[in-house]
Amino acid sequence: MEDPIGDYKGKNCVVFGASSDVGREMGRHLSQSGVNLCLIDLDVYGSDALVEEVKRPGSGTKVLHRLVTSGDEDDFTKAVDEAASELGSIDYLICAYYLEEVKSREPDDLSIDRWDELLEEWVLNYFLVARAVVPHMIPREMGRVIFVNTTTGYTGEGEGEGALTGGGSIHECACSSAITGMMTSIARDIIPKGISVNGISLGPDYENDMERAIWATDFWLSGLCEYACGQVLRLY
Amino acid sequence: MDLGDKVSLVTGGAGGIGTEVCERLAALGSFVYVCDIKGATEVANCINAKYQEPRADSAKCDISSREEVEAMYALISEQRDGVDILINNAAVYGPLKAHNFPDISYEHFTRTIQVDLSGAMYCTLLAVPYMKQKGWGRIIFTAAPMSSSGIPSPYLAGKAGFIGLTKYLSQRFSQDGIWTFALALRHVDTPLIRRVMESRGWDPEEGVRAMHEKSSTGRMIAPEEIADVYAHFILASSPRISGTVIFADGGITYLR
Repeated sequence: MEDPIGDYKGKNCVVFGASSDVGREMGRHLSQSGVNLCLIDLDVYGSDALVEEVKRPGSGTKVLHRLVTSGDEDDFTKAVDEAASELGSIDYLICAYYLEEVKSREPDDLSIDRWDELLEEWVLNYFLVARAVVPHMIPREMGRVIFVNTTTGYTGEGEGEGALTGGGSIHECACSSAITGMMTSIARDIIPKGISVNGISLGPDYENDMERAIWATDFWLSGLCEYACGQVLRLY
Repeated sequence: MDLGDKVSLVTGGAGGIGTEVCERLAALGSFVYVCDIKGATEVANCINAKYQEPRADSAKCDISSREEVEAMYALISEQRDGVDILINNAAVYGPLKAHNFPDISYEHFTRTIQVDLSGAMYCTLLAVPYMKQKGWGRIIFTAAPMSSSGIPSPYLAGKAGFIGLTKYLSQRFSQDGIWTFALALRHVDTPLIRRVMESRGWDPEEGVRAMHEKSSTGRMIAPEEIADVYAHFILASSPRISGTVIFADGGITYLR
């Protein structure tokens, strides 16, 4: 069986949204587990201090950091090609948008400006980074991709009867469900090439329960999920 | 209840499903704006020919353009105050060839999602304040199941985005009289599906026959049946159905 849970020796991973709460935690966990990383951030959110935060001292793992401009196809391609060249290959891709930024916005915001901004930064950039990474996985017929979104894509903003999540905006809800739709379609296209794509939907308390997000990441990256594709772990 | 005092806007109104919905709403008494890039005038004329008084007008608009949508709403506000019933139905499929990931171009992806999702978002965000003020509104999304097979990622991303939109709007605004509803469609017999088959080198008639057989109900869904469901929702008397997403797919999503 291919790599059981947590056996990451010699693996290489691209983390998009690496300065986000979730991206940083996942990056730190993977680095400590022996994974070489290329951390990719949007230039408006990224921080150069990230590498030192994520890298485990003395671990010998590589940690690269690249800044890209939102929606810039060439930037994404260049960053990923450089990562593949410096690391030798790419085994994993984790897309972890800056959910803390989403949550900091007013839930009642109905502005069109905010929609245009979030659609590009979240959905379109997930597409761009995945489209840049997957061609590096195809020749080896091996790869794992994880898209992170929020449970609001299933439940709405969450006030009122039956509410589960709380606090989402119309923009967040639409982006989250769009990401699930995009993920399932991409999964179907590339599972025949040996690459699996799955999702992690985080609930409103995810900052206080990062362990479950890490657990879900380990699960989707493991050999146990060789045949699981196009699915979502919803962490309410 | 008839819809004599209601104004409807149907995006993609000149397409297979859209035209049926426009005709159904007009038959129920609503004044209908037929919104599309082309063909809207013909549909509006066809509707008006059936009645003594005008019941439809064309609203030529590329809904992927925020400016065009804003201009369309400004015109509707001037002519008839605002939109009471919004049917977010417009969609483009994208290039009919080379649509598999990762061969999809960024231009293809953005263009498709801009029409399919952003267009609906623009129309919705501009409709809600008027509906809220009036204390009545209906917003319907022609969606698709998140797990649909064989559908390009930008098209499915846009259609799946409607699920979150439907849930949000219902939870936030149903107490204001704005009810939302989504029909997640597959296997509807439209001209688009035949064009997709032709682009893939299939005989459309053979393809349609195969799709009829693949459906658990033994046949594809007709556009007029979709219009029936939309009308049923618009005329419903219970707010409890707001926020509902129904799979109208011949049982494919859950039974296969």
